[in-house]
Amino acid sequence: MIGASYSQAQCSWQPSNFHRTPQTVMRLSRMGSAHQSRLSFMRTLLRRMKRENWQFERSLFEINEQGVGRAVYQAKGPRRTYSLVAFAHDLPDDLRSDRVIAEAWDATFTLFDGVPTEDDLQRLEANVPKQEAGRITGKELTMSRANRSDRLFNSVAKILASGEQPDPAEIAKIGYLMRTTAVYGSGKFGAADRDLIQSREVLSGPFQAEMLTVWLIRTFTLDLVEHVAKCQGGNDAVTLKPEIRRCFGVGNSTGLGMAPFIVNHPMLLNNWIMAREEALSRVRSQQQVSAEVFTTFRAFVKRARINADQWQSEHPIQQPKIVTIRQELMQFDEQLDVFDLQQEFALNTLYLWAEKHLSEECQEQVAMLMLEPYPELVDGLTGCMGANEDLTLIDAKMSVEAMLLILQEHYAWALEMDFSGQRARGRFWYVSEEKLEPRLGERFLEPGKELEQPLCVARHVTQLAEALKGHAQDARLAEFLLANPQFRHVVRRAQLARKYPYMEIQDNLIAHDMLPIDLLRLKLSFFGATRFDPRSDRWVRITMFQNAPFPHELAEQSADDWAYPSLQAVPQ
Amino acid sequence: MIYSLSEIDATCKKAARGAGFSWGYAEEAGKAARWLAAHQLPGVALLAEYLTLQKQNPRDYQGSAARCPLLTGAMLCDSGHGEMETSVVFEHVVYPLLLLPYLTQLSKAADVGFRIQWPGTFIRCRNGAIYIKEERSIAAADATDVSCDWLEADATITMDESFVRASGAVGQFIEANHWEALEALAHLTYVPATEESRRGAGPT
Repeated sequence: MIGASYSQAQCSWQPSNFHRTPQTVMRLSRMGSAHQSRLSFMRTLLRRMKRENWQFERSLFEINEQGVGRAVYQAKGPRRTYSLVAFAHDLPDDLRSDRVIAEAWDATFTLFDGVPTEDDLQRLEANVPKQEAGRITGKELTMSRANRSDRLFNSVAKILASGEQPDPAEIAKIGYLMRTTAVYGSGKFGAADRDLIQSREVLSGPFQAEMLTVWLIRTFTLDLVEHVAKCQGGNDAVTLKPEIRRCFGVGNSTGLGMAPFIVNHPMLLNNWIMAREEALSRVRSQQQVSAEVFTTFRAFVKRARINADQWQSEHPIQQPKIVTIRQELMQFDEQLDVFDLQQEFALNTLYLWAEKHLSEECQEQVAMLMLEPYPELVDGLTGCMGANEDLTLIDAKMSVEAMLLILQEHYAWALEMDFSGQRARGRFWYVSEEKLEPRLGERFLEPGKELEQPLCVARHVTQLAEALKGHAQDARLAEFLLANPQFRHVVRRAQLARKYPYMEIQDNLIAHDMLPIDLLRLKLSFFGATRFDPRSDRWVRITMFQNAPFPHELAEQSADDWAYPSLQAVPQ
Repeated sequence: MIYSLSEIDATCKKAARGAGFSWGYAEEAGKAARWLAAHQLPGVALLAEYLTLQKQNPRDYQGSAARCPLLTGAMLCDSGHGEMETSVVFEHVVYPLLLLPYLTQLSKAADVGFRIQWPGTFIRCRNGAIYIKEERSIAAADATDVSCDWLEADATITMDESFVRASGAVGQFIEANHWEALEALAHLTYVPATEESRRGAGPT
């Protein structure tokens, strides 16, 4: 597998002719055009749970007529059971806020490791509704909260109470009954550390505990609306038809706080991107493409067209990109009508055509669609997407000159940048005192730049290079670092670049015009999100698990055929 | 209160930064505290005391009279196992337990065991297993001489199994005063929010 061969390589990794290079893919604009794929974390979770025949049970549902109470959903795997514990609250409208600084929510959740006892539930009820102000323990894996889409929730409840079914077109306008405003994992607020669960197969991949939490939250939101409808309508009330029920996902608002994640986890970022690029190169290197593969690919292109037609955003950057991808997918589809699929390396030819003729938004879409017909080439790579992020030892025995060569080889893109002007360093990343959340400030307008977080990798690298040039070239790095401790973290980071070619975003992360939503979109595409809807340059709204099967349907339904609308879906 | 290892790591890193250490030293301090906490050793308590003193009076702890365990640990890692004499003495190290995670990291990378001791404390490490014998509290603060030997490949560990110190990812109970001291230092790395900085950061 790729992980082994790369991690053992001491010399620089060289891409094959079918690999896209870091210089191509690690740019903000392309990251801001990323699309979901077979490798996405939502799809990985559902494939595994189906394969392992997981069983699901709503073991507790104590919710009153106002929709207030508690519920437990158990997910039982071959070795362990995980339980979503949900608390539904009565939230006055004026307190409903999706901001991270909110203090009350419509519903709060935690994923419990096992089956909670009544004592556990009482402990959780005293803490989970408070979110950041509460404490959870090593028995809990995640903590989350969600707010209703009040309009859709109330209208669906009312329609069901009267015995009718909601109009799918109305559902599609919003797409969810509740949106999560945070899903915390990995030891936050006392939760179990990742070390505890990373040896468990189902949770070993990135964000699997978080994805399981959101998937079960989705079930809870539908059960809740049906329960409220039943309370309102009595015997007249009906439940949702399965195909209409699946139209609901879970909304998610992702803000600036998540943007630094992929900068702060370079090995993880490398492994995500490398898995994706390896997958694409495997597909592009297929010498013969069967008619069956081509038919599947073609169907996915058409489904992606429907998806693009349904994709709505009013954001001034995203909106024109949607218009373009609709036109270009049609153009690409027409190209397929006349394409000779008998030719050797047909998919590679198509990819190269896309690279030449289509926008980045559409190139990334087409590239990910090409992975769809090849589960046997792609799905195994999900096992390479985790990372051991132990702090590495600095190789301080190398010479100053050798360190400089590393920078020249792996950071040429940074060394070419000019940081002398104010625009090139117009912003700075910091942690806010208020919510301990990462924020982005205007360097020359706002206070706090002396407390800048070290996210401006390119600038640090250029400063390091200058300092190294001013030092004796044959001196050991250890000596340099003793005299210049401010470069210790960037030296450690840059030495990793020899083994992790896709770990750096090759752009200026403090430029006056950089778009944090590009970082968010990349991360959310790996989660499996589609139809990204940026609401500013700093936060994005998405819908998760829309059209996916519910837990009770997983055994009968396909676990992995829901990321794009079906061919029967009618463009709106 | 019990804190998770990742909370300990993150807070100690920020506290070290708040106390004036560079980002590189600070991230090492966070990982050191995490390692000690996973072994249920009092790293957080020692770091809270040490970083507070360091912030108040940096010169006392970086002069020749006393050595900083974080800088000494980093120097040790930088020099590498191969460069060190079989036996070495670090003089006047304060809070010597804080050196241990650095040594274990180096020993793991070099696949070699070691022995480390200071008055009242004897520690052996081989293949990731830690043996600790305390005749006095392991949480010594005062400057002391620390001797360290790398073990030959065929050297045998002769310590009683009862001295094994297991590790587990279960978090650690931390006294409130220690945590508050770390948070006070971590706080020095935060920027007060303004309405301007909040704007557009997330949903409104």
